[in-house]
Amino acid sequence: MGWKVHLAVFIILLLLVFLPPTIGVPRGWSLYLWWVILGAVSLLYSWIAGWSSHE
Amino acid sequence: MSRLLGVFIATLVIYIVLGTLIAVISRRRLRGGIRDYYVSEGRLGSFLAAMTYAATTYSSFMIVGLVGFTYTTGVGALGFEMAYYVATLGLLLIIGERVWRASRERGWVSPAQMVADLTGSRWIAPLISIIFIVSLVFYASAQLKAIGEAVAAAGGQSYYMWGVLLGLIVMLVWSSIAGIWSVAATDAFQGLWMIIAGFGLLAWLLHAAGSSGLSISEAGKILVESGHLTPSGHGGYWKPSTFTAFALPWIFFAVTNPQALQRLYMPRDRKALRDMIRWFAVFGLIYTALVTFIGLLAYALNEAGALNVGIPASVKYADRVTPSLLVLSGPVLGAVVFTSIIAAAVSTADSILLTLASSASMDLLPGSASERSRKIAGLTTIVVIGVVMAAIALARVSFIVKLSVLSSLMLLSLAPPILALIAGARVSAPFAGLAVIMGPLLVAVELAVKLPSSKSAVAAVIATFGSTPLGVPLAVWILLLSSLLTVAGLRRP
Repeated sequence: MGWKVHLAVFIILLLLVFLPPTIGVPRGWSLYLWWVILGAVSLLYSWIAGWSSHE
Repeated sequence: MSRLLGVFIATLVIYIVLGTLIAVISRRRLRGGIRDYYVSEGRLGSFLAAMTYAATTYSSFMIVGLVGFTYTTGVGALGFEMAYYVATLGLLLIIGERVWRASRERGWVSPAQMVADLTGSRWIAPLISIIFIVSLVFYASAQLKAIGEAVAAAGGQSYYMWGVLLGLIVMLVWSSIAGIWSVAATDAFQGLWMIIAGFGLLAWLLHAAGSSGLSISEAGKILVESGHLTPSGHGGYWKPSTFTAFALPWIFFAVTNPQALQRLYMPRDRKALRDMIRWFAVFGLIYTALVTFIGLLAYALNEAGALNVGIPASVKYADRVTPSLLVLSGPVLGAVVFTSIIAAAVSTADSILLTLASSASMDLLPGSASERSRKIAGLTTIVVIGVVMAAIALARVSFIVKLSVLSSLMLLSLAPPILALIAGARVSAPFAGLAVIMGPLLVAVELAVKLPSSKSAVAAVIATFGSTPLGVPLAVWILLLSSLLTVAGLRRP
């Protein structure tokens, strides 16, 4: 995968980080998990997809 | 002497002896050249590269500021940290290998040297070097202040000065023993200490919750009712504009902060670079989730009457939450976590100190300067900036911390030209120079505008950070103007 795909993926992930303050949901522990899971998805993406193309 | 102070001093002695031993042993890896001293000649292995990136990035703000910020404002604090985290991983993935490869080919030592090389203009290096020094000296001073506050919280207010001086000596010694080798090795030691201490604090809070019969779902109900687990936060603190004002300056941290950018020069091979990014990511996710959960749980326990934290949920008391928890947690855990605050502060500040020294020795001296002159300039910079940092920290005003937050805004204007240059675009040096000064310039103008109408200088700084000229956050203006100037300076190949 090229850098444009990586850029698109991370822009989408970043927009999803900004989503709760913009639309006012979710609430409760789901909100905590929303942000932690987005972090985990970024980690997994950079771990697996991000470097696989070079190897 | 209180029991906490006694155990704290013993723990501190263990921390300093072990760290100094590690720093001395790391001298074996030092070859002696200036590129080796500042960036290891690109010879750091996976473990050291990852741990120095993590420990340098995650300062005492995490265990003191972020715990308190989550306790007083809610989970939005996790959100803005996650904006930083996601953006940093994206940037490292996209530009990491390019910067790493070019730094080896071109022999870069400092980030300003990189910009000068890519624009083909040497005069831009001192300009950027000065921006780095001005912006980061307050950020580094805030770390020294955090050490002073930690020591004062454990031992009493009269110990503040000794804490600052102790922190200064540890930073000077650990950064000068073997340059980046001693900094990276002690960063690894301190990073492990930080995360172990964080887990210890969490375990104690979970035990307190279990003992009082407070379940996670009940804690969740308390936190929803108080607004802590809602997007708008406690007291409606996390408005979309506030969230953006906090998140935006940190999104480009990986390219605008020289101590972070310079770490891309250090891995010894492609595998070490890949591992550095991967394990930094693991550390960052765990540590961020951990400290924000601690803040939320502490608030719920306080509200449920299971723990008497005794700190109101107002942002002005945020920095008091962690010390209050540590006094309650008992002497051993309290001493370990207090020491982790010092570890987090030292690992960030000595890295900044070494990076600023590398910038002074490579960017402020003429191109014809000998290696010996550069080494002397670097060591002089470490001592001079260290003393300035201590003098600022000894003033002990909250102003320092607020100014350190402004550093991220001032450095933000570096992002567009640096990213364009890394991407291979040719940007003319005058336009790149104008673009990089937009951050300090707009911050200075906004401060000058706010000062007359503010009650104090601190209030003016806070107003500047959150200001929205014409309804748009200042960070957006800085990025916009810097981007326009960068685009205007693009040259045809």
